[in-house]
Amino acid sequence: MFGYIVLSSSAPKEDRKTYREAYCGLCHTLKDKYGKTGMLSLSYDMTFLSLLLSDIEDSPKIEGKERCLVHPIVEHKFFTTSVMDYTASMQILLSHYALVDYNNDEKKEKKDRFLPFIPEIEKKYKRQSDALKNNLALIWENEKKGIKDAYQNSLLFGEALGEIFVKDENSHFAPDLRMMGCGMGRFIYLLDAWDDRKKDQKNNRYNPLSSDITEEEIRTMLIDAASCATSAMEHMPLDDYVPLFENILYHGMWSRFKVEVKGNE
Amino acid sequence: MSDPYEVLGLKQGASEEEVKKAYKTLAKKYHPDVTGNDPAAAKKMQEINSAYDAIINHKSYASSSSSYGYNQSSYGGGYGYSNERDEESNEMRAAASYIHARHFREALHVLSTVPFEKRNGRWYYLSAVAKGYSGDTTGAYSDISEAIKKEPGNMEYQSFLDRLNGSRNFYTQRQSTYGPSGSSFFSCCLPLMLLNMCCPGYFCIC
Repeated sequence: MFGYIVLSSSAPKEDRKTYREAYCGLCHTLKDKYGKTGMLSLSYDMTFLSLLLSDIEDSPKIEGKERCLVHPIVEHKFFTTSVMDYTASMQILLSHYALVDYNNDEKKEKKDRFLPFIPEIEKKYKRQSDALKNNLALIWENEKKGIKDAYQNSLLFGEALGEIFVKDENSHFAPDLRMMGCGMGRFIYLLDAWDDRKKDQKNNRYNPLSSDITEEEIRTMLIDAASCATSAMEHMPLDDYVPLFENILYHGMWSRFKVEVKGNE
Repeated sequence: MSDPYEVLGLKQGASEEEVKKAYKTLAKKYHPDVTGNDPAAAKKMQEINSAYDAIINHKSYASSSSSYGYNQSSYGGGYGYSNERDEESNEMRAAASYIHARHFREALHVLSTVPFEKRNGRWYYLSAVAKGYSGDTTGAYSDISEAIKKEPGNMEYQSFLDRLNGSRNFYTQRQSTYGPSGSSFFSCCLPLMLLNMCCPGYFCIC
């Protein structure tokens, strides 16, 4: 499910630099908190959330330069912000469940290196952990029963991501963050299902979309989910990274959709 | 209520950007971490939040529904003015209050306790609003359509449907300004990121 929340190729150089430096900053935080194993969980999805929460909280950048495991030769810039402590934990949680999901789907027993960190995260962030655990369990149950309900499943995933977007329940913008996370989660789930549908059909595996769904139908569903996220975004007091967020929500998130459609033709 | 612009230290008609900036500056100043849970500061923060909402919701509403904003009069309001409303069940009143306080999940929960045969147009309307603002816009569509079916001609319901449509249309228009979606900037990373998930140990090296 990772890899959808990206900038499009039309994004200005400055925004790409910001996104990259925040990505490296989150990686840096993951390494600090969880060691090398933590770094393996890195994704752009939580980079997005890091910037979003930093913008709302007006959390200042702490800039740094380093050589790392991935870029051992060239020193590169990165920045962290105070919210990355939170988003790093959420990243580990998501990666853990991505692996559980992978093992479920593929009937494999790949070792979950994130597992040792989970009890502490579950204790500290009970609301988020419970939402993810419970909603994924419901999705997996639907999968097991072969229930093809893309709307219901995507909503379950969206609700879970919505909880993760809400770092602080008492924030005035908690309802907006929840709505935005839900819209983006629905989008990711639907696009992932659309992305996988040919492969799933070939391998005779579960896919939540009905087998005769058209491109127009899925596009309508995706627009509904994405516009839900942008509506919520407009209410929030964002002023640091707005063009970057908009690029992702209006354009970048759709990158894989086109690729898939091209493959169809 | 005092002038919301004044609360934020701005002149009437300040731009959305100015409003957001001013809000953030004040929110930092009156944050409990800074003020140490001082009740006067907490009260001030409430005023700042209300002023912000009043301006931003009005702006999004006026700018022909790019978002469907929180227009207070659009939901939950109007109690005590109509006999019909007076007869409304406690559950429906509670749901409206929850929506008004932006506790959308609680609203949905209390609505779910109303038996199916008692679900009227208003029930579907409240359910649509609560669903929409908690991120389930698909569910909101289906409920608001049901509400309109039960009470055709109700302007409040129609206006919520218009906002939902407005939000989708605005998105599509806005999206078209970006040109066709092609490859992402980090698309070179994607196969690696996927590998990353399947076989941890690989990194994005682009």
